[in-house]
Parts: sequence; structure tokens; C-alpha cells
Amino acid sequence: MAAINVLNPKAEFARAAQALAINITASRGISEVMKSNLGPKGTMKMLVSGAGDIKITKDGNVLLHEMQIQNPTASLIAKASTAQDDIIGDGTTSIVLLIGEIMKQSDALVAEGVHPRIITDGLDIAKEVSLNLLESMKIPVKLERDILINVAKTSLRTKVHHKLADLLAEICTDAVLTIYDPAEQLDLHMIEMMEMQHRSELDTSLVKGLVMDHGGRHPDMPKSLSNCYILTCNVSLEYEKTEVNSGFFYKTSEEREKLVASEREFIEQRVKKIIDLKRSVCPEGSDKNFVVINQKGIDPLSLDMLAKEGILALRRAKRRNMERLSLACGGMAMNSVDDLTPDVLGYAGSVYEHVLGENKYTYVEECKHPKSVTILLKGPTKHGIVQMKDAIRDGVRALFNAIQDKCVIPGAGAYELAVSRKLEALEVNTKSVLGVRLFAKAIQVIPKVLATNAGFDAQDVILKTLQAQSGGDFTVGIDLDTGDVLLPTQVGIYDSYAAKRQMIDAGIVVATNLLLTDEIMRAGLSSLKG
Amino acid sequence: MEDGDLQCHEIITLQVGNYANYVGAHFFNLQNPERNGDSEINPHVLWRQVSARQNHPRWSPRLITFDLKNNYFRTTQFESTSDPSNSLEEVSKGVLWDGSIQTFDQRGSFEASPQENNKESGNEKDKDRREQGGTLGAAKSSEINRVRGQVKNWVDFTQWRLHSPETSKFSVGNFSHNPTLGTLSNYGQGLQIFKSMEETVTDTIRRYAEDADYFQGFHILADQQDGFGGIASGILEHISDEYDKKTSFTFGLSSPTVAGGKEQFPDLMLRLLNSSLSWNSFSLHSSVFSSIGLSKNLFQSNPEPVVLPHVTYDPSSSLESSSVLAAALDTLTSPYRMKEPKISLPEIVSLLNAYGHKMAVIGMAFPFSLFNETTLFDTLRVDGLNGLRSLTPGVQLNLEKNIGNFFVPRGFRPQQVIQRRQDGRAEGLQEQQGRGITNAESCLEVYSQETFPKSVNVVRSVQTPFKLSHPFPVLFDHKVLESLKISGSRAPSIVGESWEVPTIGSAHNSPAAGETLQRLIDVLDGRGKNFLRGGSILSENLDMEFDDYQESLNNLKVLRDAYLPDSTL
Repeated sequence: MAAINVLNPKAEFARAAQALAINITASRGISEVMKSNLGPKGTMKMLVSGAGDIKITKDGNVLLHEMQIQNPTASLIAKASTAQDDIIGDGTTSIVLLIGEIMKQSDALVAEGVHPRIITDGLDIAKEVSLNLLESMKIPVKLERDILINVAKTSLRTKVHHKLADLLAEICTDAVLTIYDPAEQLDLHMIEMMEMQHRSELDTSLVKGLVMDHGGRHPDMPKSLSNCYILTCNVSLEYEKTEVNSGFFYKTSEEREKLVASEREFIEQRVKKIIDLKRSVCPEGSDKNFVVINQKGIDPLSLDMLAKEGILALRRAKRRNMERLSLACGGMAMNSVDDLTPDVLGYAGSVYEHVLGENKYTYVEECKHPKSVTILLKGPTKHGIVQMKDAIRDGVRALFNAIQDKCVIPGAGAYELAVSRKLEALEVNTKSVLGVRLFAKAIQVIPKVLATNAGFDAQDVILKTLQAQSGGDFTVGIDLDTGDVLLPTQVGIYDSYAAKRQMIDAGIVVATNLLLTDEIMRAGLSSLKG
Repeated sequence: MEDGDLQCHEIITLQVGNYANYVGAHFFNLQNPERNGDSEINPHVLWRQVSARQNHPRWSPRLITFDLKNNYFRTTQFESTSDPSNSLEEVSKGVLWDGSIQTFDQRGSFEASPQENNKESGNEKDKDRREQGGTLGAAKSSEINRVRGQVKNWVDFTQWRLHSPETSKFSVGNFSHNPTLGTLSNYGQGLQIFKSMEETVTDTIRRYAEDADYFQGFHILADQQDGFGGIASGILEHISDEYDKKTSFTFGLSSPTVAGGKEQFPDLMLRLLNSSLSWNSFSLHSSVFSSIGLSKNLFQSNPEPVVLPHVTYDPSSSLESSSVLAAALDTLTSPYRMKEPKISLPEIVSLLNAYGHKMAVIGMAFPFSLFNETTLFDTLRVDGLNGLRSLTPGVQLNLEKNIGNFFVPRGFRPQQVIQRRQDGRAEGLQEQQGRGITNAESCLEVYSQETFPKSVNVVRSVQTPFKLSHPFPVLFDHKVLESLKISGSRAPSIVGESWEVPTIGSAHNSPAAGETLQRLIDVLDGRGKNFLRGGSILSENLDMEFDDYQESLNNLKVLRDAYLPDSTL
């Protein structure tokens, strides 16, 4: 009887070798699942939900989030690697594969009687060496569009079709460069994504401004304006029947009518103030126009007044968009119409409405110094758009990392192979050498899977590259189109420094934890309802 | 959207939770403008016209639903939304299973003879005839059994569609929370789930609000006893922040309970914890809320169901109990859904939440039975409003003690209000005219003014009767059927037919709500304290902080204090 049974007779547990076996099987299981999705040549998975919704993806992060993972070890790995995605946006699959491979290799060693502690000590040494190597392989990056496009491409090609990836890479790079302000921290929230089920994926474009998913609600409002002053406000322009002015608190109905009329008058005053401002900045005969974008409602009577003045007014704009509007067009979001001055107005060269079936979209474009941009995702199907959205998110993160780290790492498996070679050659005089060599083998899994997924023989390709590397040039990677070696820097395959760092770090930490587990027990407080 | 001069004060409905969806499914079935034709009810309030084609206007509710992923899956093809062009032949071509097919054509109004309306294949017809050999009740109950057998979930009997389900349908992945049970059992989880979907949810609400010209407020139907209460709370918090001037009327639903069931003490405590946390949030963030359900007492395990006069329903069935609640809501909300609204949602709410009484009591007489040709006037004189039953669990309708009473008499024909003699002279005419009784509204007004002089009584009647049609699964007893002049000789199939019954819906600003709060507080302060073991159970198993729970309990105490007699004076 295990000790835990004394404490809790109902506890379920697994001990020593059994516990390790469970961990090993689980981590191998999850990496087997993810294996085929790695890299630009990886294949897709189709996820079907209980309600029949379909999602087709090869994004490791999406897969792990959507899959139903019940095994505790597997879900630990999933959590560790998706945490990576939250911060870095890439490399989820790599971590899962690396952990799986370390566990697989350890299996054999442990079976021979090696204590897991020896392996983990070796892993620690390997980690240090790998990270040092990573530092030495850094390629410094300046804000050059070409290099950044390559960085984005490398990340995007692992998620979507090549042609699309190249287009998205340019869009992502331009978006990031537009909002980049050297003085400030890069805020990726300033890149808005807008979905439009329309045309094809290749029509996806970058709007240096804003696209809103609603239009003017009045038939007489202009549909397209140029040279626009933009007033963003959060002011109710509708008559609202509040609970307090309801009938039961008034003696006579006249009294109530009076209140209603004065409330209405109050709203009208607000609209008039806006119209006054419009008249002062857009004098008769000028080519200037006026647009009101309101976070609160605008009722038909107010819309009518505004329409008569040729003002385009949008109601109930997203709260998020209010912030973006002032960043994109300048000006300030107003919470009251009492002190309106021309200073609070933003400017956009062109504002126009686009109708798509039942949906209206309003474009606010040609802003002077946009600090917020919109990526307009187009595609004929919902799942295609979602796929792109996930991909762009990762692409933008990759750029963000490159700009933050001010460096990138050569891709195409070059780094992994270099680590492997270096560790093989490393002289370690203790038993920990077993762990070091183990890691040297394990990390080869990334280039191996990349090659396998591209349809080449893994051993063949690895051997070829290792031989090429023995010449002393560490930055040799795999050409997934030919199966030969290439120089990643020459063709522009760059990986994110942060992603690699995180992969080594998280991979080894999680694997260490799993290896050192000698007992698994399910003995938490029995919850109320499961 | 406007119809000529008609201003419509749009209301957005949110259905949060499985039982809320059951109630909502019935609620919108009852109102479906595609079926109801022209009446004094203005469909624009709750619905949106989604296609402009004149002949076939399509409608979709202004609705956002939340449920577990699996519950959206249609289990059967039960009486799919009828498409008149589907002849039996066409339907049979597409059938993938063996056995006979039965289709029902609902084009005909209820005057058409049932034989014409029922296209049946041979076998089925014979079988039906045999079943109909019995009494009328039996015939109807067999029909209900059929519905019962086929309905596994609310999606199976909904007769309306959401226009853009991808944005207004939110599913909660059940596996990621309680994989063993596949349920969303606690408030804390619900709150977390809301956070994860907050952006899309708020965007959908905004989209509906943007579409509305004279946006009036929200109806929120929420399961209060499980984790969906947490989701509802998150939504309400957003609504009270973003739409602060709009009215929100929240209905906290208690799903059906089985008397003598297997509910254990921990289940009860969990249910009460969820309720208390939900109530706290409902009271803080909505204009007024009410707890409704068909249990007698929420504060004990396996509570008894409420017995309703003249109505037979299976209290353990979500399908049937929800229909009763939907009928009540349909009646209660009808005055502000009219083309010329007699009252607005904010007005009703201001009556119900006066003095900070955020918890209202809801009642219903369904059907309000007028037997043997009696009239509303006579019934009120003899029985008063005894037919009115409280739908707020654990609350007795003590009308004279209430601060505000709101009544909606619905579907009383003029001759059902005042008795007229053979010679055309109304009985007791003098008396009636003296008090100005001309219709149901004035009749009930006079009655309530005289009987409950201390309360503010508001009566708004609606002419359009409550129409009960397939698949509304409630059985009436023979007295009601007789009064509807449905004789045993005619064997009706409910399909294609609708029965009209007079109903009264009511809502009350009542001190009884304070008593309910007190009982909840007593249980939580008493047995609940031991159970919570200093709160460790909250943080470990319920994803809640003990402090948050304490705070919510204190808030409920403040709310209860608002109901104490001296605070209202």
C-alpha cells in the first residue's frame, strides 16, 4: 500500500517507473499528433466540433486550444507550449515535438537503468550551451522592410499557402512599420483586423486608417466624402426614456409631456452644437466635409438634422474603435459637446461607404499620420478567414519579436543542427554526458520532421547538412524544396530569436519536470460536481 | 426600422443557459410574426425583418443565445420549420430512414377542418385514429407524447431561426470545463468563460443596438442556478456600463426540479451559491430582476413543483415547464410590444423597482378560466384574483401588501367582461357603468383599486388573445376545454390549430421578495457557513474568491433591507 493511501484511501496513483511510463507515453502521443503539422510543408488538421463546425488548421497553438485533451500530462505540455504562443506567437509545435523527443530518448536510457536525475543534469548543461550558441548566432536587424518581410514570411509560411503567406507578410510588415514609433513600445492592438466575407484571400489588404462595420443610418446621408473633419464622441444623441420620468411620478399627463419635450429639446441642443462646429470648419462652398462617429446612439430625428447638413453620422461605434480613431485621424474623443473646438477634430482624406449584401462598411482612409491601421481580411469562406486571422496574428508577433530583440536567428533548421553538432562534440567528464548527448539527438527532431513533412528521407537530409556544417559554417539549413542544403540567410529564412530561446528553455524545463516525476496521484479534494 | 409613423422601441433579448433557451424557444415560437399575421402586436420590438421581399417577409429575433456546444445540435428533425412548398412527395424523396412519414401543413388557419390540414400516410392515420378513439384529453396527450419523445433539446422545437447564427450564437465548449459531467456548474467558471468571449459578445450586442432606432432595453433570460449565471453577470455588467440609460429586465430561471429526486446537500448548496451570486449581480446591474421557476421552494433539496389550476404539465420536463414560463412572459411583455404601446418597458420597471426594490415577483393566471359563461366581472367579485399564481419560487402573492401591482389582462372579449341579458341589457348595468367599466382593463382597474387601495395598481390590457398552438406542450383540463367550446366529438390535432385562452399576467413590487432574500441569506449564513469551510471550497473548486462571495452576500443583505417595512415609509 502506498503512503498516500494512508492519507486518502480513495486516491488513485501511479508510482516510479509506472509514473514515468505514463508521462513518456503521453508526451510522445501528443507530439505524434502534432508532428505532421510542423513547418511550411506540414499538412493540415481538420477539427470538427460537437456542433459540426469545421476548422482547418496547422497552427499548433490553435490545434492545442481546440483539441480535447484529457490526459493530464498531455494537457500540461499543451499548456506550457500555448503559454509560449501567448507571449511569442510562434513555435508551439516545436516545443511539443522537442518535449516528446526528449522523453522518447530518455525512455531507452531509463530502461537501461540510468537514473532520471542524471539525464536532467545533462539537460541543464545542454541548455546552457544551446543558449550560448543562440547568442552567437544572432543576426542583428535594423528596421529594414526587406528583412522584416522575410521574418514575417518564415512565420506565415508555416501557417498558410505560400502565395498567400507572401502577400500577408508584406501586409504585416507594412502594418507594423506604419504604427512603429521608435519612442514608444510597439502596441500590436493598434493593428485591427476586420473580416469581410467577400472575394478571395488574395484580396486581403491593408487600410492605413480604419474600417468600421456599419454605415450611416439615414438614406440622405452622403455615401462618400473627401477632405473630412472627423468628430469622435461619446455623447447620447437620442431621446432616452429614463425610468425616472415614467408616468407614475407625475400628477398630470401634461406635466409629463412637458418633461418629455424638454428632454427632447436637450438632445436637439446637442445636435445643434455639432452642426455649429461643422458650419465653422466647413464654410459654404469649401470642399471640406464633416463626419461624426459616436459611441452612443443617434435617433432618427437627430440623424435627420445631421443629414440635412450633409454630415455623415455613425452611431454606436465600437469602444475599441473610438480609441483607434483618434490615433488614426488625430483629434480627441469627446465626452460632451459643450466645449467643441476645431482642435478636437481629426482628419481623413477620404471616408466612404461600401455595401456588401446586408452589411455596410465605412472606410476612413488617407489619414495623415496613422498610428493605427486595419488589416482587411477577405475570403470566400469563414474558415479561410479565421485561418488567415490566426496566421496574421502570428506573423505580426514574429515581427514584433524581431523588432524587440533587434535580432533574428537563421531558420530552416540551421540552429537546431548547430546545437546538435556542438553538443555531440562537447566534452563532459561526468555521467551527465548521457543527458547532453540525449539532447543533441533530441533536438534533431525539428529538422528531421521538417524534412519528413517535405517528403524527404530524414536521415539523408540530416547527414547532408551535418556534413556541410562540419566545414565550420554553422548557418547551413535544409532546403525543403530540393532536400539539399542551403544558407538560410541567403534565401531569407529567419526565425524569431525569442521563439528559439523559449523553445530551449520551456522544452527542457517541462521535460525535466516530467522526468523527475516519481509518483502521479489523483488525490485532490473531491470537487463538488466534478 | 419603422412602419410609417410607427415608432418601435426595440428590445434585445439574451438567453443565457439551456433552460433559458427552452423558455426563449417557446417565447419566440408564440410570437413568430411569420405565423401570427397582422395583429395589434408590433413584431419589430423583439424581431428584425431580415429579408425585404414583400410576399415572404422573413423575421429573426433580436436575440443572442448562450448554451453548451452540444445543446445546439439538433437531435431530431422534428417538424422542421414548415415550408409550404414541401409536398409529401418531395419530403419523402429526401427521407433517409425507414418507416412512414407524417407531414403537417400549417398554412390553414384554425377554422379549416383538421382532416384537410392533416396529410398523413396511411399507416400513421390508422394509428392516430385508434388513439383518438378515447377522450379528447387522451388524443391531445398522445400528441404531446409524440412531441415529448422527439424533443431532446430546445433546438428541436424552435420554429424560428437566427439570421446570423455565427455571431449571435455563443457556445461554451463543455469539455474544457467539467469534462466528466459536460456541464457548466458554477458561477466562477461562467464568469471566466464570459471574459474569454467578452469581445465578440459585446460586439454582437453593439451590432443589434446599432441597428435599432429607438432602442429601449434588454430582456435577459438566464439560468441562475448554474454557471450560466456567471456568464449572465458578465454580460449585465457590460450592459450596465455601456448602455447605462437603457432598461434591462432580467429573469433568473430555475430549471425544473424533481420532487423526491436525487439532489444531495452539496448540489443544493452549489445551486444556492450560484443563485446568490447571480442575484447579487442581477440586482446590481439590471434595472429590475425576478426569479422565476415552477418550484415551490428553492431552498431545500428536491423541491415540490407548483401546482397550477386547470393545467397539467410534467414538472420535471424542461420542455413543458418552460412553456408555462414562456406563456407568462409572453403575456406580461405584450403591453409594450404593441403597435401603439400602452406602456413602455422603463415605465413598468420604474413601478417594479421603486424604493430600490430590484427584485420583482411575477405572477400569472394561465388560463384565466371563465367557466359556464361567467364574466371577468363576476369572477373577480366571487373569487377575486385567486387564479393568479406566483411564478417566483417561494413567494405567495399577497396582493394587498404590495407596493406596486402591474396586471395584463389579455384576450378578454367584451362579452367576457360584462354579462348581458337576453334582452341586451347588461346585468348590474347600473353598477358597472357607475364605475366606468367598459372593458377588461377598466374592470380589473376598478377591482384592484378597490381591493388593494394601498398599492399602486397599473392595468394594461391587450386584445389579442394568447394563442396556443403546436408545439406548445401543455394540457388543459376538461373545464377549460369546455369553456373553449372544444367538444369531445371533434378530434383535434393540435397541429394547424390554435386555441385562444384569456390570460392575466402580472408583476409585483412586493415585500415578499424581501422574505425570499431573507430565507436565502438564512440558509447561506447557517448551513452554508459550515459547508464553505471558511471559503476554501470556493477558491479551490468554484473558481471564486471568498471575499467576492462575502461581498455579494452583503449586497443581498442591503437589498433585503430595502424591503423592510420602515425603509419604505
